[in-house]
This record gives sequence, C-alpha cells and structure tokens, in this order.
Amino acid sequence: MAADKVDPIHQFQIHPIIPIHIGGYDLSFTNSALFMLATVAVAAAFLYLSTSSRSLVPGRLQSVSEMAYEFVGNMLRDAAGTQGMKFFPFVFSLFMFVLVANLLGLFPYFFTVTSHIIVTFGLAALVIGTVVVYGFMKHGLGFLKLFVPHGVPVYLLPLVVLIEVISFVSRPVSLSVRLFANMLAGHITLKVFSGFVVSLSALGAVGVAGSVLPLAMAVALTALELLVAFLQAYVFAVLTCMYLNDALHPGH
Amino acid sequence: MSSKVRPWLDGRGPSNYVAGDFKKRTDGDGLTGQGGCVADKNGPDGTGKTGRGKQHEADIRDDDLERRRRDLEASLATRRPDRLEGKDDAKTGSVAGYGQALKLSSEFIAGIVVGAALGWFIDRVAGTSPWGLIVGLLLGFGAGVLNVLRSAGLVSEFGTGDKPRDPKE
Repeated sequence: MAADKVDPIHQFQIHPIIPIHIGGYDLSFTNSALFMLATVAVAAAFLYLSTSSRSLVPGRLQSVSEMAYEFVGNMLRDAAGTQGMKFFPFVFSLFMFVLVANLLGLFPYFFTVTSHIIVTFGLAALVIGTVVVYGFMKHGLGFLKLFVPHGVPVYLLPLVVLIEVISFVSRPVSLSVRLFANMLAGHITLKVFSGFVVSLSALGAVGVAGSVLPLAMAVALTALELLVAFLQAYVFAVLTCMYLNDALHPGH
Repeated sequence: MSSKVRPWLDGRGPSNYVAGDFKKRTDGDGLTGQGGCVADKNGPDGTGKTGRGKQHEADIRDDDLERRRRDLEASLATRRPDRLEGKDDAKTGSVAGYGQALKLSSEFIAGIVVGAALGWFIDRVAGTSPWGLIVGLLLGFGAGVLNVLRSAGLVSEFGTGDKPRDPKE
C-alpha cells in the first residue's frame, strides 16, 4: 500500500460534481453542496420520521427529537426570555444543521461542510443579520443604545463606542472562526494520526507493534471529535440566543 | 417483591459482613439520623409481611435488616455528593477547559482581525494609509480584550452598565 503519501488537507478539497456556469460565475453543484443537502435531508427526515407516530409515551427516537426540541427551547428561553421563542424555528434549524453536519463529517470519506469558513461565516452572518435587522425594526435608532454603555464619561464616549462597534462586528467572525477551527483542527489531527498508523505499519513487524499507539490515539480522538461536534453545535446555538437577546432587549 | 427477597438475603452466607462494613464506615459521620428517617418510613410494611412465619426469629432478622438498611442509606447519602463532585471536576478539567481556551482565543483574535480590517478598509477608501490600519489595530486590540473579558463574564454585557452576566455559557 502506498503509505508514504498522506495528505491531511486533501479531505477538505471541493470539487464540482455537476458543473454549472451562469454568466461567468461558477455555480457548480459541488461535494460541499451535496453534503449540505444530505445534512438537511438527514435532519429533516430524522425529525419527521421520529415524530410521525406522535405517541403520548415517546419511543426512543421520538424522545431524542423531543429532547432536542426541549434542549433548544430551554436554551432560548433562558437566554432571551419568552419573547425570544419567536426565533425558535431559526435557532432550532441552525442547531440541527450544525449538529448533523458535524456528525456526518465524522464518517470516513464524508465531507465536513462546517470545516469551511465560508459556510460557518455564512451561518454567522445570517445570525448577525437577523439581529441587526430585527433590532432596527423593533427599536428603530434605539437599537444603537447597544453600543453606548451606561456610566461612561462623555469624553471617553467616542473611543468606547468605537471599541464596542468593533466588538460587535467581531462577533460573527469569532462565531464562525470557532466552529470552523474546531472542525478543521479535529479532522486534520485525526487524519495525521491515522496516517501514522499506515506509515508505521509499512515498516515491518516493529512498525506494526508501534502503530498501536497512534491507533489508540486515533480512537480517543474520534471520541473527542464526537464530543466537539455536539459541543460546537451547542455553543453556536447558545451564542445565537445571546445575540438575539441583544436584538430583543438592547440596553435593558 | 422486596419482602420476598429480604429473608432470602438474610439467611444466606455470612450474615453480618455487609452490616459490619457499613457500620464502621458510618459511625464517624453525623448523617445516620437522615438515613434512619427514611428507613423508619419504609419499616412497617416490611415487618408486617415477613413476620408471618417463625415470629421471633423473623423479628430479630428484621431488626438486623432495618439496621443494615439504615446504614446503607446513610453510607449512600455520604457517598453520593462525593461522586458527583468528582465527576464535575473531571469534566471541567479537560473538556470544558479546552472549549474555554478555544472560545477565549477566538474572541481575542476576532477583535484584532476585525479592527485591522476596518482600519485597512478606511485606508483604502480615504487614502489615509497607514494611519487607519494603525488606529484600527489598536482599537481592535481593545475590542479583543473587551471580548475576552466579556465572554469570561468579567465585564458587563452589551448595553448594560452594571452587572456582568453569568460566566457560564
């Protein structure tokens, strides 16, 4: 087996499946798009099928979807109050999309949608766009109070407001970078350690014996990645709730 | 079901080894009273059923059993919080710490990157190079520090002046 060439970045390459070019733009249907579709399909199918029996005493699958529902519902209610529940479909869709995309990415030979920063940035921009648009719709210019902390001396105000604005703008960046970096780093590490197993076992009997160590590491990392997949979806949803809270109650 | 199991458990094997073990463990702490309450509540239905056969022996057995159960309750009560705390510690030690580190660093870097990008953009538009970038970097540094402190719960949230939010997230 050709073990000397292990490229940990190769798994993130995007290649078109159905090339589509419209007006000079490359709108091809890529593997990333395929896995986004798969993510949506899996999430929708799971929720639809698991809740289709609508039994009063839920079965296993139904209670999983009910738990997901209550989990996100409580999260949103805690962070943004009952008024925030109007954003429940939005937050729940985001949570399920990120969670299912992360989990699908753990399968070997599958593409991880959330390991591309443009995808996570798109999701974060959606969140922050919702916050800004809804904030201005609901409060008008009063939304700008968000950038003016109470009790700051007037001569410091321009500086503080500038810093607050930068801090606000950096939110979608940190939101997207966090998810993207976690997924990217995790998958690269996993690939590197699996690569060690292959290249070591090509060295003969000693190598095969030695390759047990990176194999154990790869197993442990897989478990960690599973946890990170959940954790990052959770963090993404929690931060979305907190930002939505700012849109609902600026300067409360 | 329990009334069937109890005499069987009692009449079998070295009958006092479990009790002795628990007794040693629980004598030191003051929590036996708590366990006693629970055991007393459960007491009557057990004695009513098992006392049907050889009465005297059964009474002795029940007393023994009650004592053991009380001891068991107490020792479980003293052990339970310990176990939970240990689990929590392990969790905050590895996984949550990793998450926290990534969170804080991404907040900090995002502040600087956004500040620098804004400054650079102002430079491009207004032709004030390199001052926009310099000022933007400095302000971005300030915003990054603010982000970190805010997400660690040490500084108040957006728009509020006084109370910091809960540090948990």
